[in-house]
Amino acid sequence: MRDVTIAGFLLCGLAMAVLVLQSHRDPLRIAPFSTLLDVVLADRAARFTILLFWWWLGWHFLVVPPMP
Amino acid sequence: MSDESRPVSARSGPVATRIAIVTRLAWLLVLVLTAVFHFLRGAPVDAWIFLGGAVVIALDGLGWLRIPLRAMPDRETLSRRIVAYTLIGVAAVTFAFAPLYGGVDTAIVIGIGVLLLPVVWADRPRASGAGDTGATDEGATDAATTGVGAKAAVRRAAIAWSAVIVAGCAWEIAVFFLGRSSPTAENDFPALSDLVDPAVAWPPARAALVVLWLAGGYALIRRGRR
Repeated sequence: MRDVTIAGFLLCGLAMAVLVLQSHRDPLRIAPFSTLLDVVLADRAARFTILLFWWWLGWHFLVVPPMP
Repeated sequence: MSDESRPVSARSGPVATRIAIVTRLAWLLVLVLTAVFHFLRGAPVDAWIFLGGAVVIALDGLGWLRIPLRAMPDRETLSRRIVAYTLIGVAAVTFAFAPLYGGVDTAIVIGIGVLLLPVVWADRPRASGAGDTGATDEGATDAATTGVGAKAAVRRAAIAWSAVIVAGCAWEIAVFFLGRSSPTAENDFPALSDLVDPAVAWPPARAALVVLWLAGGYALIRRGRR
């Protein structure tokens, strides 16, 4: 089951890579991630939320020790 | 309503205002649900971080937080890039050599958060030529999505990315609960943190992760203002 669990995470990463590649190949079909971020992050609530999640990643992995 | 949500209603009528309110409520819900999950997984500090964020968003949406900050136009210069990448390098080296989960790490991460607060909060400047009354962030949005085809492409990208991110979060949550079902289940269902933590313990990998993290943050704070 461990392999299946890890494969699930890898699949998500793969899907993101496919989206990035597809948007570079055909930006009129799927907008590039940078364009999407420009639209989404123009709103303060979205900007605050997404940057909070980003900051929390640092907090989670660099500051808080793993739970026993 | 806050300063940022006004221009939408002024330019596009009540429908756009409703969309802005629903969007804001959706971000609020994301923060509250994340806080609830952290309470459930026994991480109250993390939960309070997200709950605090939700309170700030709610207060701003109600117009009770009036902090008049306006971001400068993003002029990407070589010197600014050199300064940013130098700081990222210094931070990576510091994290690599500092004791793991020590006071230095805590001070740097909290310091970055505090320093970025006004940057994140500040209204984004409008796209050039948009006049000087009212419009703020959404001017840049319009510039980025001019044309029906471009708007449709952005909508499709938003749906696709949301689907992948929601699927990833659902997988992580499912793994978390399955991993708690028995003492041996934790090995069968490792959370993403369990997979990444061993790398964090190795200084070179920790430095690389810090570079990735900070470069990602640098990219994020420069978005939304063009």
